[in-house]
Amino acid sequence: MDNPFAAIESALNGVSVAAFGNATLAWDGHVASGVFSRDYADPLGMVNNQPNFRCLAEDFPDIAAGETVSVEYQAALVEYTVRGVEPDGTGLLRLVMEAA
Amino acid sequence: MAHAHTLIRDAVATALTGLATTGARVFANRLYPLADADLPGLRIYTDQDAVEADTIHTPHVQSHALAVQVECCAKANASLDDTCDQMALEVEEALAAGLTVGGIWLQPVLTASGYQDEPGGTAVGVKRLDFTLAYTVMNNAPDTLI
Repeated sequence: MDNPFAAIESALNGVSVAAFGNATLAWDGHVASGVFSRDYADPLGMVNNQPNFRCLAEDFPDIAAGETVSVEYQAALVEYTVRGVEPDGTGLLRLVMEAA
Repeated sequence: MAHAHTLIRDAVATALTGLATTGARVFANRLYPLADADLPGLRIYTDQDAVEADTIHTPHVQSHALAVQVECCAKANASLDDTCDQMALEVEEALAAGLTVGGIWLQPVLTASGYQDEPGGTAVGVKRLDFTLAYTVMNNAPDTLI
């Protein structure tokens, strides 16, 4: 028997990414919206940031660390290298990136 | 005059200013994070100071072994460790001939080194060089090396 919450969870993921998506990521023919952030950080005492992109896992099947992606955010297109692929197990995916 | 620690820190900073990789980006006791314009750069700290009294009478002679740390800081997504190694090479060469502090010649002795890096939008790395500098003062004149 299907879990009745699975469909709700999947629908909620889609709605939340659509509602809060602020950027578009393109990779290998796939293009999708998601939530991009570039949080401030200063590891080891140096000013830095931590670019990451949250999206639906189904939008980027088989994406892996080392891939180059393009992120369009606030009318700027920037290339990044994926360094971490972090599925949350509920259908969302977080890509951890560094400047290409 | 300033405390011997200040004199030594300043002398180390002077000796390390103008190196090929780091140029004028040399910071003593830097409290705040380094910005991109500060990199690659060197941070200099004076840390623990092991002190012994060499004489019984007062004022007495004090022998110091001061720990001085030089951090080689860089930010890059390629060859980060090589850059830090190059900075370390230049620092070690610059300090190899010793320093003159308050008219007294001191020899920094490299006792250890270590490397750390962290990922991010651009990866950062630090190679830390631990030096010890031995010096002597009178206990009632910690600003005058003897």
